[in-house]
Parts: sequence; C-alpha cells; structure tokens
Amino acid sequence: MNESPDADGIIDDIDVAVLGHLAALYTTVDPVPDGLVQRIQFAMALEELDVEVLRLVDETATAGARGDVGRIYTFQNAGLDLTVRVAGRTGDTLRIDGWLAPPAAYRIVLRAGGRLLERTADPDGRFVFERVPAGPARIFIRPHDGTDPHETALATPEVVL
Amino acid sequence: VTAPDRIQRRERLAVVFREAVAGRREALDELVPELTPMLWRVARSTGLDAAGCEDVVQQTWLSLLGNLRQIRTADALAGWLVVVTRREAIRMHTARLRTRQTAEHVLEQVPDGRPTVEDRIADDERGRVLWRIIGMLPARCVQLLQVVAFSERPDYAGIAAALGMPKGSIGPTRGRCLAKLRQLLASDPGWSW
Repeated sequence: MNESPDADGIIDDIDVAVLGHLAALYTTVDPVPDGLVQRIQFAMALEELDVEVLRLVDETATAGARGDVGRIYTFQNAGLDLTVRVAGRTGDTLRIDGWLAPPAAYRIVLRAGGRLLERTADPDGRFVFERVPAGPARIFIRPHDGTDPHETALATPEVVL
Repeated sequence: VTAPDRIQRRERLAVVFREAVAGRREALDELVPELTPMLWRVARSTGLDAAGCEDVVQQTWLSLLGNLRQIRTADALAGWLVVVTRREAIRMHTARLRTRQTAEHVLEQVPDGRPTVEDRIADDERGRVLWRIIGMLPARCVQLLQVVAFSERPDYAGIAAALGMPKGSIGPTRGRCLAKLRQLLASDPGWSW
C-alpha cells in the first residue's frame, strides 16, 4: 500500500480493495430495491412486445357526483372491446375502472408515469387500478399467462389521462 | 475483487453488449443486473428519493431500447446510461423541490419506512468506520467514488465526465478523492486492511 493513484488513471490493488469496500458498504446502506432489476427487464420486454394495437373508437366526458369529472374510452379490435373509465382524480392520481367484453381473466398491465401496475381481470372481465399517476398511459392485455414475452398481446394506443 | 477481475468483467460486458446490439434479446437482459447498481448510485447521489430513483433508472433502460444502435462500445453504453440517469434524476429532483416549496406547509414529512443507515450497519464495525470517513470527504468526491465503486472500468474518465466533472480535472480528481480516502482510512485506528 505505497503507491497513490495518479493522474493517468492507474490504480493499484489497494485502490481496488477500497472501491470494493465502498461498493459493499453502499450495497448495505442503500441497496438497489428488491425486484427493481426484474421490473426493468419486464418493462423492456413489454416495450418490445409484438402488440396488436386496439383502436380508440369512442371517448366521452362524464360528470359524476360531487363534480367528479371523468372520461370513458372505448377501444376495440375484431374480437374484443375494452372500456375504460378514468375518474376519481385526487391530487396527481386517478382511478381506472376497466371492462373487457367478452369477459376473460386476462392479465392487464398498465404503464403510467414510468411505472408498471399489474392486475388480473376478474371472471366478469373487470379490473381496477387505483392511485394511477396522471399523464401518458398505456394498457397492455395479455391473453395467456403472460410468461412468454414473445406472444402477441393487445395494447391500447398511448392516452394522456 | 482485484484489478484483473475488473478487467475481466469489463471484457465480458463488452461481449454481452455486442450480442445485445446484434439483436440477442437475452444479452440485453444480462446487462440490466450488471449496470443497474451503478445507475442506482448515480440517481441516489443526486439526492432524489428511492421511489423517484426507481422510476428514473427504469425509464433510462427503456430509453436505451431506441438508442442501442447509436452506441458503439460497452464503455460508451455505461457512459450513456450514466448521463441519462443523472440528467433525469436531477430534473425530477428539481421539479419535486419546486413543488414541495408550495406544499411544505400542508404535507408532513413522511419517513419512507426504510431502515436507517445506522440500523443497517449496526453490526458492521468496518462499515461504520468507512461510513464515518466517507462523511469527511468533499461532497464531489463522495458522488464520484460511490459511482466509480460500481464501475467496471479500470480508468474512470468516461464515468467522471458523465457525472459532469470537468474534463481537465478528471484524473487528478479521481486520484485525489481515492488518495484522500485511503489516507483517512490509514490514519484511522478503527480501520484495518
């Protein structure tokens, strides 16, 4: 442990050891959150998924009780209708209620504000996302168990909620 | 970890990177666990909270998908990821600070529920010494070293530049920061090599 690191960027084994201790310490005091790597891999797979994009066929503003203004979107392809009601704005978050027709217990992934939220539609084809960040969002529908990243999925176009 | 291990890791990453550019999807998946710990430090060192950093790091990887073919080498990849992560983390952190100025009087400070640093290193004597000594370094050194510690590069010019450290001072800065840390450790009775 004699040589000091120099300006040319040459480091010795002591430097490497110190950096190793530093890495270990930071891994202890402020680790990468559990599951983050998997969520990133999942998000990247989703991004590259071969998707069939549903058409937006209707968009209606609604006025609910207590001034709860919302919107209803209807998306469609040859075999499926997806209706989405966006309401319940609290601060920067929203509530999303969705219905699939015909109903099926599909996996639903909502991408909003850089986050991915996952639900399984119930046997009636309904699903709910609460506390969704306002802003651009996209819904992916995965017809099977969603484990094969190369299967064809359905997705809405990106919509600003 | 020794210096040769780092060089080997760097070479392995270079191979995986070339495979990813060539379109092998699994190669891209392999890069994520390799480089995310470094990006986590880049984001966290800006002062942004953990939830915000998660969003930023994920968004950075997603934006790589459209830019992969413009990046020539694995070293350039690390630099690109560091630049994007840092820029987005600073942007989000600044935006939050601005919002908080108006919301501060309304919202209470909510602890994020994570164990404190002291809790995490309570049983780690060496860790406590190192943590205390890091606290004695200039902020700029702490920022640089915590990222460099997770970098596989034998020289850190690209990383330091990506962190916005002036080009002329990169080598000396890294050298000075590491030398200072070594000197503080060597003179601390609680530290053993």
